[in-house]
Amino acid sequence: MRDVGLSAAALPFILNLPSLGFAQGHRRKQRLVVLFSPNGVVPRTFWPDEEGESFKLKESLEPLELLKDRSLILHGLCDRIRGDGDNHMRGIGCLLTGTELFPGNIQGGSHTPAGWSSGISIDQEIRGHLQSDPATRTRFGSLELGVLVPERADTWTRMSYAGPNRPLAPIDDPYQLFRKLYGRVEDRESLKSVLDDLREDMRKLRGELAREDRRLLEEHAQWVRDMEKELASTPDDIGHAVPELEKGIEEKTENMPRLSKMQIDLLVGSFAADFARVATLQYTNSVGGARMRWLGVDEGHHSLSHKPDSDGKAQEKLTRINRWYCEQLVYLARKLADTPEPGGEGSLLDNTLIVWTNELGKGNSHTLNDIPFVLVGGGLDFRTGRSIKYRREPHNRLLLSLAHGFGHRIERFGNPDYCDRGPLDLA
Amino acid sequence: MTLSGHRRAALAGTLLVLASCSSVVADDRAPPEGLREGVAESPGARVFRERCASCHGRSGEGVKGKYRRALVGDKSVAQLARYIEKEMPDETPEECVGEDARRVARYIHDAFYSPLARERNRPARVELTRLTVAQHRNAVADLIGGSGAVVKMGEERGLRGQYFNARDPGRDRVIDRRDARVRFDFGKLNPDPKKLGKDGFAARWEGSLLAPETGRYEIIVRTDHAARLWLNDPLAPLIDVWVKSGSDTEFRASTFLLGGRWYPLKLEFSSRKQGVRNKGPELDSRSAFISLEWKLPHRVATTIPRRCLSPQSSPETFVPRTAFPPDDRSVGYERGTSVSKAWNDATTAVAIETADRVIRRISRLAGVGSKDPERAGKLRAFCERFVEGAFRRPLTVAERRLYVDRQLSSTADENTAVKRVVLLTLKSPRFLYLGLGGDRSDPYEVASRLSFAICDSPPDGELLAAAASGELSTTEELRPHAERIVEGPRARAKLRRFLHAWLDVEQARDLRKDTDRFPRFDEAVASDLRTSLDLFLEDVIWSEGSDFRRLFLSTGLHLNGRLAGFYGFDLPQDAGFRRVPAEPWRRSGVLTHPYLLAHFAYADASSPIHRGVFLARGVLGRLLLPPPEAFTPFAAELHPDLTTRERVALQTSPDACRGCHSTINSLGFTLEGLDAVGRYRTEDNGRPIDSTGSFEQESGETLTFAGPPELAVFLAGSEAAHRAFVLGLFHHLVQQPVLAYGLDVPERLRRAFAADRFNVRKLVARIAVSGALGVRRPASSGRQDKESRVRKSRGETGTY
Repeated sequence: MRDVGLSAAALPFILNLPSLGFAQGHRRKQRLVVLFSPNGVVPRTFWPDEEGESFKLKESLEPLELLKDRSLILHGLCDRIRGDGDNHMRGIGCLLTGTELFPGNIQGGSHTPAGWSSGISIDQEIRGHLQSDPATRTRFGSLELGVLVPERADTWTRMSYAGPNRPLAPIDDPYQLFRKLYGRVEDRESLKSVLDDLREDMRKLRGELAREDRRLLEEHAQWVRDMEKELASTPDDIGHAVPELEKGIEEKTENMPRLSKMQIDLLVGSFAADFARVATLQYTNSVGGARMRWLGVDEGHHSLSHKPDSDGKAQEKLTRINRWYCEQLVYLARKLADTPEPGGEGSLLDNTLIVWTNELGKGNSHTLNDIPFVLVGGGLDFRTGRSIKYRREPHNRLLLSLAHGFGHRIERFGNPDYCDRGPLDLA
Repeated sequence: MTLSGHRRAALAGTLLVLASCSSVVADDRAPPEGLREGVAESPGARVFRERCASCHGRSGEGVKGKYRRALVGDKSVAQLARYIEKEMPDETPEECVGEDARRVARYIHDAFYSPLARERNRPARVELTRLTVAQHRNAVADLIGGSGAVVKMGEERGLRGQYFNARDPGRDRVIDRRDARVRFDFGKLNPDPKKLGKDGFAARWEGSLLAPETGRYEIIVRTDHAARLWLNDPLAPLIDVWVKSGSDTEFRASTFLLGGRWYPLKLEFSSRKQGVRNKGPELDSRSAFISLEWKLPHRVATTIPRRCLSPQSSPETFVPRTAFPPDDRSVGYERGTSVSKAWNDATTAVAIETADRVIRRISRLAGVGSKDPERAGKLRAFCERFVEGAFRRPLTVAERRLYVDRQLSSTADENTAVKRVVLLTLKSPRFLYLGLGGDRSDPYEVASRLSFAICDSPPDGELLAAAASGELSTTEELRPHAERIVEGPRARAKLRRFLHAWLDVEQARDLRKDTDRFPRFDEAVASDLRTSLDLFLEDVIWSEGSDFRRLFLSTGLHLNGRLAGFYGFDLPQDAGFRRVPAEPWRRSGVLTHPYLLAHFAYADASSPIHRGVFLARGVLGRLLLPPPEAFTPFAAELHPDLTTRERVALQTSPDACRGCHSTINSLGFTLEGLDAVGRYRTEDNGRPIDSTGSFEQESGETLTFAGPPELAVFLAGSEAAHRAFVLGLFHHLVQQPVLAYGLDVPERLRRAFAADRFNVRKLVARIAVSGALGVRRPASSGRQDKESRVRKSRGETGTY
């Protein structure tokens, strides 16, 4: 159906169906996760040399080996957006929006100062598409997650935009995320646990009251009983056990691996519970300077990324860093693959596309060419198990492909100058 | 007169709906008993008195030796009428048939027969009540803030303004001063060009903001540079445009604030670049403006005025986001005498929000670190304080066991345990109700009643300490506390709400006027007028003598430049509010305040009837029956030769109208010299204004007034007006029927009011004390007492 360009909303009319039951029953869930890591990659250890189905993964991408046939490595996509802001700013601010930053007061290391993006990001565009249809609407629509995102709202720390000048702050505290996802379930449990005691005390109080005053308390008690019935009859709508979080993990760089795992676990849980179908997971920020000592890297990521190609040691460390990010991608993909699709066929990974990306192509040149895009999973029916090499294609075309993959057939996204040739054909 | 449904529809889109409107009423409805002279007996009542009362008693209570049983039951009017037609009077049923039977049936039914009538006629008693919405919100806020959070705010107004020769506020401060408000155009007016560089600077304004009323406040920052604003939350900015992006210069956010409280506020500004330092040229800061404004419901945005800003800091206040269903106001004042599912759900939601807040701030609230060896003990102590605070009294052994011990031992998880304590406590009737768990002489109960009455808030530390040492059992002991609490901002907020109710302007209505006739009377003027009214009221009530009479007699208007321009006073266009003397022969006090006059008027003409009803019922406490049927006011076009006064007189000339309208019109006519927007006029429809009026006193003596000042003098000295004010205020504060406290209470309070030279603040304290010390006779004992039945009947209580 998607292939002939029919939207879900059109189905019941065409098939003369009375409701959306058909659409719901037969359309599989589709999901998208965008993973962000900063400061570019080491091209030499990142990009496969070969093009096509037969290619070899290099050091940075080695962890992907077991998922190679589910992966699509896109080389040669360029962030062609210019205008205000330095490359790190435009790198993250135009990455998912495909359009310019507003002029503003944030000065980068070069270029002119800029503000926020002047457009919506593709994840939010797709969220809007899904939320507009009751058949694909979910409780949150999308989740914006992060790992160690600095407490600072500026162009370098925001990737998702609900619209022009409307950056979305990622939640990087797993406990805060937990409250957002499971707070209601917890609240219900806590409420249930005190109701017996409450009723006991209400009975006692009633006995102490003058006859004329009992009416009010009796009526009140009736509402409490009704609430108890409601609580008992509302099933836990999440369809799985509330995950247990390791307690007391502070937001410190040395906890980054644990925080990453916690966030991914919560993300996969949210997909299984169908809380949302779109998510972003942003590691640190554009220009992120995490010191990944557990990898034996003592320097901050950003300053390391400025080291020249000739500095073999630095390049080796940068490779290690990107390899660690690749491991996070693999952890997410495997966790999705290990989770059966609730009420559907296959695994969550069969119905999810992960896009791992970065604000730069390469750290020491600050280029916005060859932006890394590594896609994993079957969510949008892209033909995986391939390495594709483009020649300076604007990345807006990939953003269009993501929308089209959801049946959202927009003709342009972001700056229309880069949308002329439509979505990339990835099927 | 009350507007009927029909008439209200005719007024839709203009402005007026009176407080106690009722729908069309048939003329046979029984009037509440005991109406004062001047109100005609209904035909049904006459029939009953003449033909039935000899056997059934005057109020259907029965007569020994005739028909002993009371006339009560649940038959409908029609059923009663059929029965009367066939059977009554006994042995001569043909004497009362048809229309008479129907009328007497209606009268009996409504006066004492039906369950509703009996409910109405029950003697007044102090009922069990829950906290009202306002009280509940304050109680929760105080619970989290802790009583130590109540800080005394100094008299100084404005904000602390600091200016820095830097891109961020903090370093290189060059100016530290007071700014009356935030409204600057630094491009034209650099605060100090010698000290602040031409490359731009940073500034910070700090202090507190007073919310005069409870409600949603829209906060607006206008700037062409970077700014961020924190209000009542030092962690999360309400407005954050530190990243200047694009060309927007107006930034809005809204927040719900409880009236009568100060909230911490901080605003920062920078006209320099952010991000990476020392790269590229600075921004163009030749233009740099910033203003801090707010917009209250039904008002236009204005710069936050100096009087609502303090340079002193204040603790944050927890304001739950949960919306509540409104409290019962069916008797004319808010009271907590009903519960509903929506209310129960709201209290649950507040309990959950509060528990969430407590858990997130547990370290600070309990004063405990994560590795504190005494952690368990400190958490327990916090829980005990929390429950005690919520119940407003020390805990009994049983209460501590149930609310603290049992919850804490119910689970190994600390957070879950504390959460259970909070949920159970905030769902408990011991928190939600007044007067549970102790009798009325219990000093803690007295403390609660006193404090809730004056400021809708639980007792503060000082009052609780007095309760603990048993010093709250006499009027003399309570008075100083009451007079202390009355001076606080929350008492102000509660009293302001009463004054709005007394003036019948609680709902800030759409005052839109006919644009042809009043072309410059726009939304901004209407909004300023309401501010002007509030300033007038504050000026009288919070001045030295707090003299009620000055509400009528004080001349002068609070005007800003815009209002002065409209009403023909001489002030600069951009002048802020100030008191301007008004011609004493034209205006006097609140009656002639243009907000009220515009409020009690049509879009295109004055309305002597609405003004008269307000004066007769609202100010003088006269009981007015609804009009016998719905009327649409005569259209001016159909009577082109008449003035408004003549048109009203013509329409209300039938005998059926005169009973009430002789009172209403002759009061309302006194204000005819002020038009539909409250401007002075000498002509109406090309004819000279006649603003003479009169009023027939209870003694039968008729007073005449040549215009507003004479009327004002009369009202200021009128016992009836004093009585109405005292009764209304009692009900607003205590939220229980006054007669439940003793039949002589209204008169005692009125006399005390007079003895205090009509000091309103002292009256508030007196009322709260008598409400707190309570009833001198058992509330539920005794037979039906005639007077209390009379006073409690719908008509009278409905006035307040």
